[in-house]
Amino acid sequence: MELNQDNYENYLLLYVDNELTASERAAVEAFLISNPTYTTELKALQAVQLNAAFIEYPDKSSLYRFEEMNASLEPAFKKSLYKNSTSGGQLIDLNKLYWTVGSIAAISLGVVIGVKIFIKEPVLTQKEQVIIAKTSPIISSKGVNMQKMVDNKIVTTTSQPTLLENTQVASTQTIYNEPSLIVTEAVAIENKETVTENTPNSAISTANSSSLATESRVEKESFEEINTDDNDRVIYISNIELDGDKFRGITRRLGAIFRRNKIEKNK
Amino acid sequence: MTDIAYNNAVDLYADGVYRFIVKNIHHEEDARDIVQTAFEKLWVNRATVDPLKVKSYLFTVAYHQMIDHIRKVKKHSITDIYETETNSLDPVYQPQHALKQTILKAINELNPTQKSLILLKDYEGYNYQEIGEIMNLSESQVKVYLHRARLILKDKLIHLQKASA
Repeated sequence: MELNQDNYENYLLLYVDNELTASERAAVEAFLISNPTYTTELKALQAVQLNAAFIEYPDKSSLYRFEEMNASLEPAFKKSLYKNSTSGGQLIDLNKLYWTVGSIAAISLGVVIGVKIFIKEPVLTQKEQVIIAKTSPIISSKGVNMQKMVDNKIVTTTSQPTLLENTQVASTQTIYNEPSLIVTEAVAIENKETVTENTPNSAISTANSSSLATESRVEKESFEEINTDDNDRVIYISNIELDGDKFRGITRRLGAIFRRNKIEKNK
Repeated sequence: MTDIAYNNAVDLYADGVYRFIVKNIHHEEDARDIVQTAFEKLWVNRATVDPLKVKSYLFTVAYHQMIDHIRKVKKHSITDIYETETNSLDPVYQPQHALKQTILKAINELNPTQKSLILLKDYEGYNYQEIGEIMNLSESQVKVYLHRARLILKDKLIHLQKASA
């Protein structure tokens, strides 16, 4: 190697960068002794070199790691966990999940309706019994009224329009028109208070008659209730049948899903 | 690589890697994040990393992280590090220190590649080949780029000396 004016700069740079062999370094030094003008250049190059400044990493402890610390994060361990969890069972199909949830909701709704009907039925029979017991004297009183209507013409005329509306009200009104019959009629209706308070006074009689009329109306309403309830029961019975259809449909659907699952599993 | 070897690497190289990055980007927190990422990668790949090349592995990862960071965030604020160095110096050495600061400023004006070359050479003492491996450059590229950077700095220094004289 030979240093000259053309290549000295490259050698000076390599010298600064410590990229020369021992012999090459010696050659550069010999060149600089014989050519001192280039020494300033070497010094300038050395001046722009960075002196090792000590800068410490602020939080070295945060970088430390230990095997035990990372045991749960081991990728192989994670992988093994994943494999175990997936090989056992199938992933849940969302469509199937919706169907099952929907069918469960439908079944529970059907059960609730069914239970409601079964609870309502004994109540109805009780009502029925009470109403039947109550209606028997009314019917008898009605029979008496009819007899009165035959005896007294005035009674018949007054009772005529009311009969159109309500036979029970008409019957009570006729009772108060004839005081002699009041006691027997009232007993038949099971209203002793009105009987004792009863006077020929028309105002009181009308008031009593109205109260009796409302009572009889209630009885009538309850009587009508039997019919509606009967109708309701019929509807409810048909409802149960309808629910049965739904239930059958749901079970069929569920069965199909389970069958499909089985086939897929067998595959 | 055992956890003991890894923690030894933390003790030996964390400061050096941090200095290399912080001198380049002049942002302490970002530099810390880059160093942390480098050590995380070393920990994850500790089974495959050659125990003799741990230092260059760390510098390589940190350097590439830094390049990505520079691309994302263009931060050119000259900060704290040099200023703190200035303040710590004795006023007696003020003229010499002024020269040093000029050199540091001149270094900051270099491009990231040239700056990294100088830092890896002067601070870490890596040879051209090692620097080439870290920075993904050929040996001759390292030589040419580094020499060019040194000559820029030398010219600036000579210019400054002439101006002050």
